[in-house]
Amino acid sequence: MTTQQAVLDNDAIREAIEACLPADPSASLPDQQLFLPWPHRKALNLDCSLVIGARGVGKTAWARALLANQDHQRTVALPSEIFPYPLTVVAGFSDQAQTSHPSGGIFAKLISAQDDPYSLWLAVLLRALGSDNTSTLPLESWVATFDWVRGHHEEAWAILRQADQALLQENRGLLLVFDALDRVSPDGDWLQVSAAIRALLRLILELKGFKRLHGKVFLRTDQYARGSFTDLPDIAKIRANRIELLWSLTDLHGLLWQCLCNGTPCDAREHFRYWCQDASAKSQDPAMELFKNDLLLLNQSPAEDESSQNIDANHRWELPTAVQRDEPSQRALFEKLAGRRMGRDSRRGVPYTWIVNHLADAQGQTTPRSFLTAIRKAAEESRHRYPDAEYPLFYDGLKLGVQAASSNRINELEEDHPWLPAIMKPFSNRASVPMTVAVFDQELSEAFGLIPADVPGLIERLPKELRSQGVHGLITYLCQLGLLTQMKDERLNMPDIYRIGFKLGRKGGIKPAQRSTPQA
Amino acid sequence: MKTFDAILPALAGILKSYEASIKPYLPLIVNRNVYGCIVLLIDACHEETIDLVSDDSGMRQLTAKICVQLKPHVKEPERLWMFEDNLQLLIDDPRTLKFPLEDNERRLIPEVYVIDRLAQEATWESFSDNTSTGTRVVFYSMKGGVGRSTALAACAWALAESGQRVLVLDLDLESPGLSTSLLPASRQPAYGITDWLVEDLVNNGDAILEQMHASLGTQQRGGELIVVPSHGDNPGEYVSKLGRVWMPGFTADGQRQTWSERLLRMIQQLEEKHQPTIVLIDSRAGIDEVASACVTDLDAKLIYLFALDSLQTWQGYRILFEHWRLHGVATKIRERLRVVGALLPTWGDQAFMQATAQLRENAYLNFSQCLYDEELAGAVLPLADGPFNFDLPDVDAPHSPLAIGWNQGFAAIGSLHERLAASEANQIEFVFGPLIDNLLAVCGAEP
Repeated sequence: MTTQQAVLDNDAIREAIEACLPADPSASLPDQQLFLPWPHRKALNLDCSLVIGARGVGKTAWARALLANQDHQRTVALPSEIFPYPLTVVAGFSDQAQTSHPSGGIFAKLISAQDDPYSLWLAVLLRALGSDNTSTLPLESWVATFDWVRGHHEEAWAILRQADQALLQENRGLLLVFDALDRVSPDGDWLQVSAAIRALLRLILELKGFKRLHGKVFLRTDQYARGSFTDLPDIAKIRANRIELLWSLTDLHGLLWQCLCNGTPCDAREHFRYWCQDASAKSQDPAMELFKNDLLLLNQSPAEDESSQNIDANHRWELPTAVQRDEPSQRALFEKLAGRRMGRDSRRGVPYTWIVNHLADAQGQTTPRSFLTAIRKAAEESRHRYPDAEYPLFYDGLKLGVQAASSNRINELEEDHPWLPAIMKPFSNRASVPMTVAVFDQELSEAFGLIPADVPGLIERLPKELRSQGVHGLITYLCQLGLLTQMKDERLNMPDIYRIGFKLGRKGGIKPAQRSTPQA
Repeated sequence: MKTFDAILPALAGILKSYEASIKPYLPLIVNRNVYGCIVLLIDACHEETIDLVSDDSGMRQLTAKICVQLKPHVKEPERLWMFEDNLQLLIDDPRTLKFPLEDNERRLIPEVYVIDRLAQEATWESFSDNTSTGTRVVFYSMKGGVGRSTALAACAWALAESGQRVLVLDLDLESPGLSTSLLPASRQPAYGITDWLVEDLVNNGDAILEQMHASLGTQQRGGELIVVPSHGDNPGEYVSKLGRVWMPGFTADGQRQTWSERLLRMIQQLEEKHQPTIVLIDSRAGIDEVASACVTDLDAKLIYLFALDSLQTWQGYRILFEHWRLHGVATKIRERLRVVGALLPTWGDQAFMQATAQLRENAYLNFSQCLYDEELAGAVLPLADGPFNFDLPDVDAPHSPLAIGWNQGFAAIGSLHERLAASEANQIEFVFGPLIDNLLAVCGAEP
């Protein structure tokens, strides 16, 4: 790479961005594009048995990366030496067709015949031990294994103890990874899902008594909140080490450049890599130097040595540390894509922060899925509608990107919470935020009657403690889901990512008629 | 008996109930004089046809009703109406300061405008545009003692250190002091802004233009700090001079200029002479005549509104914001405003965050209700020139506070120049960083 780069035209950059980022927002990223933010590393540790996060924060991505990480073959996205001993990783549940666990359909069928999800999870665990330990276990079908386990808990535990000892002697371990747990009920029976999760957490707690048998459960934040699992005995053991997958501003931009620099080979990608190296060289933050040293000491960095051209065996180009973590470096980089303004002047914000902030939910969280969706859409819109714009990502293109991410986000949310469209309907095209609780209450009562009892499908999906609190219980839940925030004066606010999609207005003192009034 | 604030809403109500009668005579101007009395102006072409006498005339009933209900803020019925030639020309003239009449519920009365005559020239709504080549930034606070001048001094210093040519104007004429805090006594210039404004009354401003500033070069990247104080090293007969600065003057070619127009001319001359990249203006606090000139008349690109999170502060800002909204100038000023959270508690991160969040919400409340556009439910997502409206947490919004923590080291303004010279650059950055970064972004420099 020379320092003199030919000028790349904006359309080439736009096309490269579109090619690098997934067209289907829910598709998983290829290995070399996975980006592990520093705080997420703990989620992969063996002592962390519960990883929670909203839709689209990377739960499935990490579950899959762990599964691909067999024994000596490290997934390139994972830090080296993350596990203290060689590990067999088995899918305890997933949305993939796996022989190691029953599919969602079979799971539901078994449970509807015998309502004992705990034994079914135990059966999955026993099968994962491998034939050395489980000669007595019937393996011809899941129903056979399930039936045997239901009648032989004591034998099952003996097998587990024996297997644990064997693993210890061989200095190996077993990790079961559970993901996509809403699929245990293909028709979305929420109570069944919740019961299955509850049984699974109980088993995971019991595994804490073993040395080399580990479980890791990836759970949606709302499933965790709704399940009311706090009354499980000893749940604190799991809760203490649970990790929530959150993405900061710098994490998201780090991910973007990880994707851009590891996308389809093309001229633009070489430019992206060059820009990143250049930004890293210009990075002046002394803290970054300290941070680099930390990384070397811990020997956990995917970017151990930037001078070695950042290319490893699996052709994963590692981002320089500054581009992973350093805000000024990232700002300068993103300016090359989107400039400094979200309008004709600087008063409407700076693209680097604007896009992340406008994708944030009520808790201030932006998911990587929304972020990448918005950037890709922005590139596409800029190419079609604003080809002559100064920057590859034109500000109006970014706004359309946010709009696309917003409707995508709402679709996901409505899949998980089928009662939501009905709740929002009375407000759509009519109401504006911030809104008083009284108005919120009145609109819903007029539409449904008693809240939450008269809203179809709502009450059984509310966490137990919120069911008897009327409209306030619903408000609390909507706040937990990140749809609403309650201001200090108690009025309800809705972040733009949902407000725009649900077609609510935002209050303001200047009415549209006054804006067009000729002024003095 | 109606009092001042009830005049316009009551008039709006009456005009609405006689909509059909008044319609043929529109447009109409409500002229509110310096005593708070109103007369109604309609075009002279109606003088012959208007019927104010017949019993069944709607206009007669309307007139009677206004005179009864608005007492004592109207004259007798025969003197309520005045006829003006080419009324529409007056309405269309951009120099006419007018605002649309609205009722109690903020609904507009079509084609009815109010012209408001004040006893002084501070209207808080006379804007000048495109008079500046550089970037003017006004530091304003509703209440004094919030660290506004200290923040200005620290920012001026930091900007000069980063290579900017910074022109600082002390327009807090009635309690001057910024320049003494920025400049050692030995460096005070002979004259100040007050001197120029008085000399200009006799077209003698040029005589002192060369001697009203002090310049401090910095070691860094060619930056410079140019300070123009409110008075010279010897204040002289300051009170007598101050009593004259507000006078309108006449240019050499005989044109009348208000005092703020004269001030603007002075700033233009200083800018021409010193070629600053950024001009920082310390404004007087409160709803004051000088402050009005600073905030609206000087074509500032950015106006910092320093705010303590107190009821009094927000009541004060509310008065201004509501004035701008009512008078139809909110759209002109709102893009220039930015809240600065002053003297925020720094004892513990939690306290700082809570105080900032509370300040943000109060600022949002006032901006949202007076200055932001209503964004209608179900409207298509606005692109480039969509509604000017921001969500509460938006960090780029005018209401989003740039937070300055309370700091012992900068609490006393007395010897700021020593303090600044001795300060580690990163200590200034630590306290005033958000403000400095914002200023650097505004003048287009690398943050």
